[in-house]
Amino acid sequence: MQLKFLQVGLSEIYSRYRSRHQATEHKGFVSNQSEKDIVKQIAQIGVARAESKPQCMMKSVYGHLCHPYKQMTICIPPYLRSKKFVFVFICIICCIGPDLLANHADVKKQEDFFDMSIEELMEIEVVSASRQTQKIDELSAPVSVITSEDIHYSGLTTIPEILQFTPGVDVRRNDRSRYVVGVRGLHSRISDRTLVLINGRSANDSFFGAPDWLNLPVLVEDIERIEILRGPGGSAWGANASTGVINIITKKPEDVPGYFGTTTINDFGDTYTHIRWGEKQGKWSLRLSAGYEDFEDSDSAGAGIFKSGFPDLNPLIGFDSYSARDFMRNWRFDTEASYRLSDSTTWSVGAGHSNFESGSNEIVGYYPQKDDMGSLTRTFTRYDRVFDDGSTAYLQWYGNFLVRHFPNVIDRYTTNENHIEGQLNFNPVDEHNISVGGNLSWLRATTTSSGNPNETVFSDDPYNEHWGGLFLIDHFKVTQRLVLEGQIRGDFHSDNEDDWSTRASAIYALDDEKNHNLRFSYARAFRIPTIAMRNSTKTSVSGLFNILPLQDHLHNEDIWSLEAGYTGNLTRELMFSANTYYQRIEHIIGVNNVTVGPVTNSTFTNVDGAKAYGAECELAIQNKKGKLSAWYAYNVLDTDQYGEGMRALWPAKNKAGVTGRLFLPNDWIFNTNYVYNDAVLGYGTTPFDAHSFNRLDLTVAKKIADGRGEFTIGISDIFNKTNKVVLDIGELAGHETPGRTFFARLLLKF
Amino acid sequence: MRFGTYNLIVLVLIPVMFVNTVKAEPVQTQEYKIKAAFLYNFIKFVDWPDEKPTNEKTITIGIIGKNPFGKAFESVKDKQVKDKKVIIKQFQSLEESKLSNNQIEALRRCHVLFVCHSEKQQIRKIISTVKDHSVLTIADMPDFLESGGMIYFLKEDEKIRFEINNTAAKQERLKIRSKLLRLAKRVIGEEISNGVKK
Repeated sequence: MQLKFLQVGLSEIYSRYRSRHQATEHKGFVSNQSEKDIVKQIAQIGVARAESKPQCMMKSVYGHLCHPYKQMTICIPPYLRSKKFVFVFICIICCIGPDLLANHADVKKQEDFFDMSIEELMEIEVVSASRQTQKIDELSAPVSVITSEDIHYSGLTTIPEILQFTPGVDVRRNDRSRYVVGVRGLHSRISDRTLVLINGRSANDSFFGAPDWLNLPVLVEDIERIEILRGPGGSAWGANASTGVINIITKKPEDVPGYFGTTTINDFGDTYTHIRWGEKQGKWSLRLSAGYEDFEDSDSAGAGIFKSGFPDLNPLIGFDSYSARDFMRNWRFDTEASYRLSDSTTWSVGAGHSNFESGSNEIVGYYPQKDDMGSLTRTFTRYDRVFDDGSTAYLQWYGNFLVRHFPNVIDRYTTNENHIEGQLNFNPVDEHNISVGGNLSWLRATTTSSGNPNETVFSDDPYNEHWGGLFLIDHFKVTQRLVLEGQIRGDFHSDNEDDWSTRASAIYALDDEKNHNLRFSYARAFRIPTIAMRNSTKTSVSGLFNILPLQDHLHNEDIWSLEAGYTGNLTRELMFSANTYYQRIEHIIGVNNVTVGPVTNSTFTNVDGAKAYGAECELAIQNKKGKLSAWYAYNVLDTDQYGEGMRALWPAKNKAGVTGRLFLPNDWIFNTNYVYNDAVLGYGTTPFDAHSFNRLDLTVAKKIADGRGEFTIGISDIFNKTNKVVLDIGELAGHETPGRTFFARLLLKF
Repeated sequence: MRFGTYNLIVLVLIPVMFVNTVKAEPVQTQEYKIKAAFLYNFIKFVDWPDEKPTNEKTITIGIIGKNPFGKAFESVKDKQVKDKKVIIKQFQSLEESKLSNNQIEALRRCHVLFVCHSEKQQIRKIISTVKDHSVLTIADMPDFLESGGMIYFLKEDEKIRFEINNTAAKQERLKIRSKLLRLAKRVIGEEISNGVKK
């Protein structure tokens, strides 16, 4: 009843707002994709985790952010000051107020698990402590989770391909071995506005920004889940979690005992093979994984027709010699071990290594057509402790060590990162769940040039930088229904500006069972310029395209966000969620292009700002028979200046997706994934490479050998025999990539 | 356009007026609410010997140590299992002080005994205390089964699972029904009975 009244009240406000102010169309509401059985652990993200049952889809925000944009002023149009509005508002408060006053210690209103069978109890997901353990009803940001089951039955073997079926996530494929991924857009190979983590440890490239997705030492069948936070996450992670955070969480050694092997082959001859061994003996548990991946290039796979964005320059850039060289071969190794020192302490250690070779691509007219090679090693050691009073803490060191031959940019570069971080979670009083922590990191990066004048020059080589931060999170249960959460973090950087981040949220349960929850949040985060932006110069295409040295110090990029959301368990199996946001981005780190005649000079600089707004919503039903979910995302980015050089792609304005899975008799499983993306802009000008697309994947799997094996056949991207060219920032030419792909997979475990 | 001062005050004060500043009840984690429900359900699938000297009208769940369940068992007071009322008994931690003879007797009269984390150093002592009294011992501490305990809670993929030491249960003349054994992740001494009470 209260929920309905609230909706009526807000609908009244919204409809009047639209009629008077011709508000921007919001067709339906975008959804947060989430599933019934997911999102309990979001600790490392530092936001409320929960079983992210997406929040309700209400009818948009009932506020309106005014200009001038330099003030975060919440303005409400005059009509809202009318007596009718005040009356409606007081009525809403009267609905909520009595519940706030009620004694929620009355246990007759608690969830009655005692009426559930053992089988039903076994299906409930439980929150467990990590960065900050929270439940779905205490989410302070919209989070989607991709489970291991989603990954497995998709049949996909690359993480970006898996991510594209998530609300609000933009994924574009440059070529067979390169993807750009961003939460709510702003993605490119050098855009690190989305922070990517593996088990809470940074996976972004510290030199250029975005991670090299296909060269991460993670095998997809080792992934337990991927958590995608939409919105600023800097208050827990520091720099470069502006638009979102993607955390890839791998399976614990004790959860994957035995031998496991899988191999996938497609009609182009690509292969993906993964073997794993897990063992738990007494206090020890261990997981060893190894894999090999081999992609044919687009020419061999039936696509690869080159297209030039600047045909007049073709003779200068040697366009006629171009061929698709986007093959990839990658060996991966990943291991993790944990040792239970006592009932309350655990020590874990791990290492991952990826050794790759792929074809190079063209950047600003330079296409050396030599192979791109690299070696990435990630290691960590971690100590976890549970204290008698329930407090938890961890201390860890981790390192990322990269050697890369990147022929179209620089002959060779290396980065050695070391990080020390720790965190303590405790309850000083029952209502407050506090987390404090911090990190100290240092980086040494070097470059080596072959002397080719087309290579990028990095000044001040080698680079020795350090940075760190401290954070505080307080999760305050004011009443049984109302939770307030505050996060604050301060960061310093030896070569960039010191900065800070925050997130403040109020989460209110509309019912005692917490089946319907509202969330309101304010957040701020920042992005720092990478080494490549601060220290690079380049002369290309006989001087027609140049990157000039920095004139001024680059300021950090700032993002502020106002968010609202609803999550509802409509029934035990059916859930609905929606969230909406408004963001302001300032001091965008982009590029200023000055064209004089045929010559274009580019300088990295803080260009103007932008605003971003939109919404996501999802409806999902899941039970033992299968799952069906549908989502819609509306993500808008408006730059202050037309053609603003953000050095990133715009989000696809409209995105939609459907996922379906059926567990059929006799161990057959059918799975489908569908996604639609609008066209994507780059630079705000008439897009060269923008195109909308539909993608449909189907798989059919059959368990064999008494469940110890599984055979899968599938077809991905049914609608598109080939995919059109997608250019990343700085590319003058590109080629089409193969689309429709038939594949088969065999899996055995024992 | 800016919002009037009056309305701003209304918007701020009205919600504040309704904020419940009374100290909230202690937080119960969902995990222990679910485990409490498991304990309640286990009773349905375990048969105690006729010789167990207890009140015929009640089934007792004992909790020894620092209680993590909070008020999770409050609602079970209105419920019955096998036509018997369920009662909860809290026993102090053996870390703090020795149990009196009366308390030891009360411990032995329990049908189910949950051993809390605070008693991790006393597991074997507790099990030996209730030995030969047909008490179903349960805990969520690793190595509990190896120490002679009967049911161990663990988490897998963020869901509660349990393992059973059927050998220990049979030594205490407890019959764990086949349905419960089949749902267990692991069973030590796996012999699934036909569930028929003799």
